[in-house]
Amino acid sequence: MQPGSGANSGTNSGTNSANGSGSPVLSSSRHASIVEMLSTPPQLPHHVQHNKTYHNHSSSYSQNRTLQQQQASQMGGQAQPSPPQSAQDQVPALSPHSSVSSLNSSLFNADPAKLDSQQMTPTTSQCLSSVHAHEWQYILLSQLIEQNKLITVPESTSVEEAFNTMMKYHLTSLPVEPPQGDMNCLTFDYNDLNSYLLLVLNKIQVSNKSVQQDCQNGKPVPVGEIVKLTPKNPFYKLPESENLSTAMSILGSGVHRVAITDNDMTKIKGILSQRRLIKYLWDNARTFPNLEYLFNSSLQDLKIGVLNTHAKPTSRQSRVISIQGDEPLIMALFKMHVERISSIAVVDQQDNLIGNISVTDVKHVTRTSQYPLLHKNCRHFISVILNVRGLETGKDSFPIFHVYPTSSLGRTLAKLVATKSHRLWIVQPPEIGGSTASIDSNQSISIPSSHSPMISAMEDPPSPHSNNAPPSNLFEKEYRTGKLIGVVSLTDILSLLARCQTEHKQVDPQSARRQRGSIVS
Amino acid sequence: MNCNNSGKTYMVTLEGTRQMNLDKIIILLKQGKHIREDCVYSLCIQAQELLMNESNVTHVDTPVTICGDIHGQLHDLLTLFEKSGGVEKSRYIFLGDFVDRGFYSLESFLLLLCYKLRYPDRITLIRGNHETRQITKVYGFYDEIMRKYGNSNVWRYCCEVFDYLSLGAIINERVFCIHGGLSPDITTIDEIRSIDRKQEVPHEGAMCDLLWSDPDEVDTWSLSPRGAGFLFGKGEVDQFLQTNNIELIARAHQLVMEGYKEMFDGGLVTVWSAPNYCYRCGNVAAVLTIDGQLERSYTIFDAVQSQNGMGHTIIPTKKPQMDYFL
Repeated sequence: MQPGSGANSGTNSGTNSANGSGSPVLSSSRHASIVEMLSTPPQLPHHVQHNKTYHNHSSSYSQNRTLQQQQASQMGGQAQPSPPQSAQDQVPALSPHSSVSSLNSSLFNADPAKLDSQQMTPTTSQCLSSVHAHEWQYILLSQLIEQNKLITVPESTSVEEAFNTMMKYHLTSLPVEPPQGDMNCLTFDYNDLNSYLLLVLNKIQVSNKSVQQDCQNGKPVPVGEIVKLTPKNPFYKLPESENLSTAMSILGSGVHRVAITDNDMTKIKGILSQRRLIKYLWDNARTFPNLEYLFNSSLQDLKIGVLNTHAKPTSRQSRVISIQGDEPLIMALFKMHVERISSIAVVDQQDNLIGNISVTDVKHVTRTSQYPLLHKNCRHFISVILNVRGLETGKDSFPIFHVYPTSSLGRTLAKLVATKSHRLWIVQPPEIGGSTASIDSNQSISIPSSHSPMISAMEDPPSPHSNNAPPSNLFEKEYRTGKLIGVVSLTDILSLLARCQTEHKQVDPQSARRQRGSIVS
Repeated sequence: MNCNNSGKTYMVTLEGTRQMNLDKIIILLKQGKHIREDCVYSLCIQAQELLMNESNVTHVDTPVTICGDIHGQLHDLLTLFEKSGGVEKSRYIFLGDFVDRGFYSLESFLLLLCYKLRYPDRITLIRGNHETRQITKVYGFYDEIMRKYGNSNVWRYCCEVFDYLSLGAIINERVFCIHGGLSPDITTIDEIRSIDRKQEVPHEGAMCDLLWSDPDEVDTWSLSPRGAGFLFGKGEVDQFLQTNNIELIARAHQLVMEGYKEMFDGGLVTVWSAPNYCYRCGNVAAVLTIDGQLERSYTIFDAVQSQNGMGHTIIPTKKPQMDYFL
């Protein structure tokens, strides 16, 4: 970017025009710079100046001042407004709320959406940024805990009551209290609810025959029995004197959450989830300059999450497991159970991504009135999920959250944090008119002008008995997000960070899943 | 052309005949009755020809009533017209999202198309983020058509019409109407005019942002939790108002329990016109009337009862006899 008086100064960032035909270069450059700004970590509070060491282009990496100099200038703790001094300062600062709130946020089983409303005291912020200026790896877990009530259920609770508790407190997992305060407790989560459902419907069998019979006879089953039925990852516990590096190595192996205990390891103080950790790293990334070059690299350069269709997936890449949109929902639930995965992509016959079903969506089929959904197709279930989600937030979301192989890690993280999701699907940008499409698929689509588009739209004679035309015609081919080619999950990113940045070089993102005993290797 | 099932056929050649037939179709639509596929085709063709010639940002004069999301709630749409004067007497702008979620997406959309054909200068329709193939495939409209017709042709015809809808409107050069919100790509309303709108709404870029973005308490811009578009703050709104010499951005796109919500010192308003959204949210709906002096007044209205006076169920609500945990 070049110095200028306003966002509309002529720049030549060299990005594609995002406007299709006829839009001024000025605006598309402004758009590109705003998108780039949002693909880099947010500004921190109490920064004296804009962070000059964090650039959008890797070529400027060599020009960095050390972060230490910058931290020294901010140790005084006074926020001074500074006039724009260079091109970088043209980037407006994002709201401080996003970074502030996460430092103080509870990592307990609380709804992350509610946490952003908490205000942070200046003391904690100054403390954190001054004491742990350089190395995120050495931040103690105790810094991330806040005192909050931990929700658990006794072993004897029925599955239904446990489910109601999860819904009430917006949890995705619930520690089940073992007898006599034994620390080796298991958690009840939606994978268990899914297994329970499949048991009730007699789609799976388990070795404990009395439990199996009770399920099928509609008798209430204690949650303590259900959590023992399917192999689980151990409930990892770390004392709060441990540092982030250790937590990273565990969460990077595919475990979704760890418990944080007091130093004597007698009492659980909270839960640290993958999502919480990612949000923390993203919100505070500017204090950790050693993350910068990673964030500027593309997913395909980093070789995470991208499935090379010409080669077998390596053990380090997530295999993309998918299901056809017209398959019944019960098949998707069964597949997730068998593969020990928490989410499955729903695609059409051309492998274009329609949406996804997560194991937490089992919550929509727990009542007998919802039973018919199990035999309707997956595409219909996606509409149920999206409809409910849109009602809860008052905002309908885009059906899929996706990135491209060329997207940067920073962009990927920004989108993961903004959408509060656990994974982003990687799609191939669709080709338009046979030529290579740009990443911005905002080009005008040419429809043959020799006849009205309506004629090509009429696939079938107007009759109530004709079948739906196959979607391979010109009309629908262009209107897709793109072919599903990979997925990048929180596990993939955390394992990468662990391998690159900590002493834990052998972190394998597939190891937790193998431990859960996936039947398909 | 005859769209009920009496078996007679009329040639649509005379303007008077066409109007008479439109009136007949309007009566059928208001009753939620089935419209034959070839009739829908004809309506869509005519609508397309009309909409094709409108500019990306339509000029509208006061007085005018601005309406937010409808989402297939036909009977509430009828209430809306009843409470605000009706198309015969008042001018209207509809901010998009006519389809999906409600059970009468098709009838709601076709009714608005009929009104557009019947009174082209009294009603302006702009595009919402739901007027696309990808969204209607997963938010209900596609399923509704499959249920009512057994094939997807009618859905395809409607999607073609969607492609021709304007993107925005400007009232007396002072009030800007858009479905979602602002885009980092757009600083002036003129820039919107140079977009090629006759396509499926893309996943990113100006046309996408205008239909997907939301105002929020952010400094400038933020990524949207919806996965498309952006969040934009007061600074961006003030800048846009000033640059374009306008006093208000009127938009929809977000559920508002009170029917409407002003933000940023009255520089932006969200209007929501689907009461008791999805037949369960319990919200009221609103429309915004701008009079000749550019004064704003809001009309609030409630949802219809789910049964009409004669005890017939209008809205198919689920009443499960037994509902146990599985």
